[in-house]
Formats: sequence, structure tokens, C-alpha cells
Amino acid sequence: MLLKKIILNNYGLYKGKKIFDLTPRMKYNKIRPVVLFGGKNGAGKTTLFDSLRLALYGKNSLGNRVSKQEYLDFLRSRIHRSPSDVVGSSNASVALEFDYVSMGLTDTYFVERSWAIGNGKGILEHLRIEKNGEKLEGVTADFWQGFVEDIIPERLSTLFFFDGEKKIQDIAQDGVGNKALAESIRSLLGLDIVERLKSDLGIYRSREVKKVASQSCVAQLATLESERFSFEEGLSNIIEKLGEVRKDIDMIEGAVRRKESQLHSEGHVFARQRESLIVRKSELATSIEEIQKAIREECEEVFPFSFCPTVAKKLVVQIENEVDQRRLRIVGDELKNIELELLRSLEGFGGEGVQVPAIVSSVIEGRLNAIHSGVESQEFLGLSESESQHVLSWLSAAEKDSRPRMQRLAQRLEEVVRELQKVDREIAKSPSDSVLNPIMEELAGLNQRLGMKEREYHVLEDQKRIIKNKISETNRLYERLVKREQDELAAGERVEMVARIQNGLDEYIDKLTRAKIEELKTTVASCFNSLSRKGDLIREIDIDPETFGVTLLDRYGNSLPKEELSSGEKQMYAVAMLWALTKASGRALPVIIDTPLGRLDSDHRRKLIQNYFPKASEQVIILSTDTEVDQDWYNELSPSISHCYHLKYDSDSNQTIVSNEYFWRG
Amino acid sequence: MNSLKLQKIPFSKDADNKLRALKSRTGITPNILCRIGFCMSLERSNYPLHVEIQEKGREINRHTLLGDYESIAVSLLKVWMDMNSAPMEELDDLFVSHMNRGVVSVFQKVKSLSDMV
Repeated sequence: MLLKKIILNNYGLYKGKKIFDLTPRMKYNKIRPVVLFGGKNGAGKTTLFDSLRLALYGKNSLGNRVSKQEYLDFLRSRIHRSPSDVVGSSNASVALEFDYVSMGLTDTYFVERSWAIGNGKGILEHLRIEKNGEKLEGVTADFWQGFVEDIIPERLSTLFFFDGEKKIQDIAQDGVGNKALAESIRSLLGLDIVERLKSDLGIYRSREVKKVASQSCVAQLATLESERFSFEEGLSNIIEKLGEVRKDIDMIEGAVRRKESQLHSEGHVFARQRESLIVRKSELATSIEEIQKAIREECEEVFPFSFCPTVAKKLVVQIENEVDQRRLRIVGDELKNIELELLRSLEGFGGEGVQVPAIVSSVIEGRLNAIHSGVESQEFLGLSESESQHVLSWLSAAEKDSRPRMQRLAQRLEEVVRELQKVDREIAKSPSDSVLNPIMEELAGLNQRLGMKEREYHVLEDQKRIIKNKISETNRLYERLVKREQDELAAGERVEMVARIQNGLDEYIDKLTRAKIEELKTTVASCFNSLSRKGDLIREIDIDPETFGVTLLDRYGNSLPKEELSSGEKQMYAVAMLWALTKASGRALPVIIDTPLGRLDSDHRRKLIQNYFPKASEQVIILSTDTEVDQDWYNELSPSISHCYHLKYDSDSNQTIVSNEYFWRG
Repeated sequence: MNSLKLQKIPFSKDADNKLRALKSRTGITPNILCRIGFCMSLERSNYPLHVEIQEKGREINRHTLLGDYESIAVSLLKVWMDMNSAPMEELDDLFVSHMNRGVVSVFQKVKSLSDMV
């Protein structure tokens, strides 16, 4: 399918008739697949996106549970209102032109949905369909719906029309995605058609057999059929329960993992550290006490006398002076004595040596004068010789020993106190057992619940196996009965052929599923890895052929829970899944992406722009804001861009202005 | 030569309170704190105020206050008096006022044991 044009008329923000050409154009002999719509928030991108779905699916585009009235209200709300028009428009339409290839022939379809406010103020909707330019008469909405369903089943449309913000997230969520995914896979792979064929053949064969079979046999067959029906019902119940239990298990496992990491971050390691911290704390407290004691002891000795260094220096000088004076005084006294003694001894000498006493006196007097001139300062201390020595040694000890010792002690004290504060803080940070115990208990509870759920799961699995055996047993009985009748009655080749075809189809479905899943597995993995920033984060993808549950395996073959992917990676995973499904479906359908890059970082954006957009489909319609596909990305993408539209909201006229350029061209 | 005649050294109520607070901050006994404060006060060259003790606090026994270090303490005071040309008769008075002034100094300086230096 190739979308050619979408025509909006008075639809939403679009005033009058706006025609958007969606056909990828050829440039330099190469078809460029990307049609880019740029517009800021509120410019009408999503309106355009919705209009495509509206044109194709009508009421169903709003979802399954929408009433007719809600749909009509929706249509009414979509009629453009302009502040300049007094009366306002009373009608609107969306029209889509597309090519569809069927049986090797390309037909051009044109579908227009128009609606108007009728006389009774109700909304009248009109559907008009043209095939190759000719109006198809008598086509009902139902017929159209059936036709569109064939091309793109509505439930699959999300695979092709996707809204980067919401829908993609759903796929990444396991619980929600599984069932939808299973259906998508079946339909995309065409398995549903084969299965329908098979059951149709079964009905046909039974009918043929019953036509000719005996009464008793028909009754037996009916019993077997109803038995099989109830078994099958039981089986689907069990499968459903299995799904629920599996979901619970996944949930509990997730909770266990979270608790474990909480335990890890909050404690455990800390808990062990805590003990050593407490030991350290008491060591530090002891050493603080020791240092304090040393300081106090120091204070009780000579340390106080180091607080007056100026006075102390003077005191030292004074003491030395006074000691000197005392010595000089003693020397002077001694000299006096010597003089006296000399003079007395010389008295008897007399005679010619009269000058001798005078000489002695003058020498000694000279000395004494010299001594007295040196003794001028006052003496006021009155310390004894030994007291002087004590005081001097104390002063020296205070200044030279005690003070440096105290400085070291004080410094050490400060360091130890600081360390103690640090240790205290760490102890406060590390949780005590009272914090950890509840986590441990919760964890134990979770593990217990996990065990119970796992046992429940195994029981269900057993039941499933038993019921499956019963079904195949019933089938076998049924087959045998039919076979016997068939043989007896020789119902003919047709019935026999049907049986053979059914067997063949069984095998076919089985092999096709496996083959397709095999293909899907490698496609998803390669798609994901070509999109993921981390290279081969996922080595393999496992898809269960029965439940279609998806398991991601990392490069070591370990399963990688999807909740461990970042939200950006989840989005990339979903895109990869969609991409792979569209590839594997083999249907040439356009891909339409609204707001594709919202949550992604620049690496993921690059991957999408380089690897996905140009290759997603032959027709890729992107609706982007200026921050998503910005100037750099625009340049990056430009070799794949066919053409662009720029949507700009004009607040004065309350409408969207359309131009043929993206943000930065023109 | 002059020597101290006082047997008991009086402290004001304020000084007494400060000594108590200091004792609980540092665990150091008042007599030792007084020795430190006395020396700190001697290092200042201005005259300490004469202590007119209005509200009496504790009295400390001279021997308790100075212990073996009486000679050095008195000598230091005498040098201070010489430097500040104070008559020797004021020895007792100045001893008391330096002791009282010193308590305030220690109190301001020392918040915990590590401030002692």
C-alpha cells in the first residue's frame, strides 16, 4: 500500500482545503522514502496523524468501545472554527488516496469521509469511495471496513501508525504486550488464515462424514466434540492462569531484585563497617582522654609561665644581673680584706720602700672602682642562689620544652576530635540493624511467595499437560471414529483428502510458525542492535512459539529482564520489535511515526535517523518537532527525504499555515 | 626584700563563676587556671584595675595557688612592677588584681583544651 495524498477540509486546525502529497519522490534516480512534517507543539501534527486513521477506519479509529454518539461528537468537534467567521463552517472532510496492489494489479483508491451539521443539528456522515477514478456505488461502510481490514487490520495499524510517546511504550511492557503481540505475530505471519482454513476443513469433513454416518456414530461424534470443546475451554483457562501466575512471578522476582539492591545499598556492607566504626570510635575517645590528661598535667607544671615571655626575658636578665652583683660584691669584699691584710703586713717594712702601700692601695682601689661601676642596676628579687637557679631552669623549661609539647598535644587533639566527628557521621549514615531487619524480613517474605507461585506454576503446567493429552486422546478417538465410518462407508476421496490436507496443514502451521519465529528472532535482534547504542547488548531473542512471550538474552546467553532496560532502550526495543514485525510480515505498508524521538538521547536519535527512518519502509512519514529532527539531524537525514511540509499555528486566525519547507529550508 | 604577706587570695564573684565554667570546659583546676591567667595578665603592660571586691567569690590559699612555683610567680610580678615603676609596697595589691584580671583573660582565650596553646 502506498499513500498518495491526504486531503483535509476544515478539519481541526486546518482551514479550507489542504492537500498533502505523500508520494515519495524520485531524486537522482533513487526513491527517497521519507516525507517529513515539521511543526512545533500544537501546530497540528497529531491532528494530521489522527486524520489518516480516521479516513481509513472511521469510528474504529477511536477504539473499540466508542459509541456511535461519541464518534459523531468527535466529528463535530473536529470541524474547523475560525474566529473571523461569524457563522462558522458546518462541514468538514478527510480524504485519502492510495494505491493498493492486489493480484499483481495496482488499483488507486480514493476514500472520502465527509460530515456536516444537519438541519436537526445532528451530524451526518458520508463515505465516498472511488476505485481508479470511478465511484463505487452501493458500497456500505461495513464493506469498506472489511476491505481496509484486509489491507491493514485495525489492531495492527498501531504497528504502522505509531505514536512515539504512548503506543511504543505499551509494546515494551511485557504483561500488556504479550497477548496483543501474539495476535499481531499470528496475523502478520498469515498464520491466522492457515488456522482458519484448517478448522474450516475440519467442519467440512465432519459434515461430509455425518451425512453418511450411522445415528450412533453421529451421537458419539457429538459427545466427543463437546468433550473436546470443554477440554479446550479448560486448556485456555489454564493457559490464562499460567499467564497470570507467570506475571506474578515476574513481578515478585522484580520486587526481590529491587529489595536486594536496596539491601545492598542501604546496609550489608555498611552493617559490617559499622562495627569497625564503633570500635574506632571508642579508640578515638580513649586517645582523646589521654591527650586531655597530658594537657592538664602539662598545665600543672611550668607551662603557665610561658604566657608572659616578655616579662620572663626581663626576669632572666635581672636574675643574672643580681647574681653577678652578688659575686662582684663578694669579690669586692675579698679585695678589701686582701688590701687590709697587705697593708698590715707591709707596716713593718718601712724604710726606703715607703711607696709600696700606696701602690697596693691604688691597684686594689682601682679594681674595686671597676667592680662598683659594673654594679649599677637595682636588686629587688632577693632570691637565693639556689632559688635563682630554679627559677632560671623553670623559665627555660616553660619556653623551650613545655610550650612546644603543648602545641603538639593540642594539634593532635584537634585531629583526633575531627576524626571522631567523621566516624560519628559515618555511623549515623550507616543504618543500624533496626533498618536492615525489616528489609531482610520483606525479602524473606517475597522469596516465600515466589516459591509458592512457582509451585503453583508447576501444578498448572502439569494440568496443562494432562488436559492436552486428553485433547489429543479425544482427537484420536474422534479421528478413529471418523476413519472407521469413512472406511466403512467409503465416503470417498474427498473426505480422505481433507484428512490428509489437515495433517499437512498441522505440519505446515507448526513449521511455518517455527520458521517465521526463527526469522523474527534474528530480525528483531539485528534491528535492535542496529538501533542500540551499546552495540550487541542483546545477543539473541527468544520467542516462545506458543505464548509468543519474548525473552531477551545478553551476549552470555543470560536472560535480560526488560525492566532492566532504560526507558530509552525500551523505546528502541519496541521500535525494533515493530520494525522486525513489519519486515517479517512481508506486507509493503507505509510507516507513519508521530513524535519519534521524544525520550531519546542523541546517540539513540542518531541510530534511529541513520538506521531506521531511511530503511523502515518504502514510505516513511515522520511528524516531528524542531527539537527532535533539528538542523543537524535534518542534514543527516536529508539524502532520504523526499519532501517536507512545515506546519505553523497562526494564533490570530486560529489555523495551521502549511508551507512546503521544513524549519530550516527557505 | 619584699615578699607576699597575703595568705589567702580573694576572687570576685564574676571571676569565681568564670573559673567554675572553665573547670567544666577543660577539667583544669582553678589554681592552675589562675597561674595561666596571672602570667597572661603580666604580659600586658597596662595597670590592672584595683580589685574593689564588691561581691566576694572564693578565696584561694596562697600555697594551693602557687605551690612550688611561688618564687617564680613573685619574681615575675616584681619584674613587671620594675618595668611599670610600681612601688614595692603594692606587691600584694597587684598580685591580687593580676590574678583577678587574668581569670578574664583565660576565660576569653580558652573554649576547650585545644585552645590552651
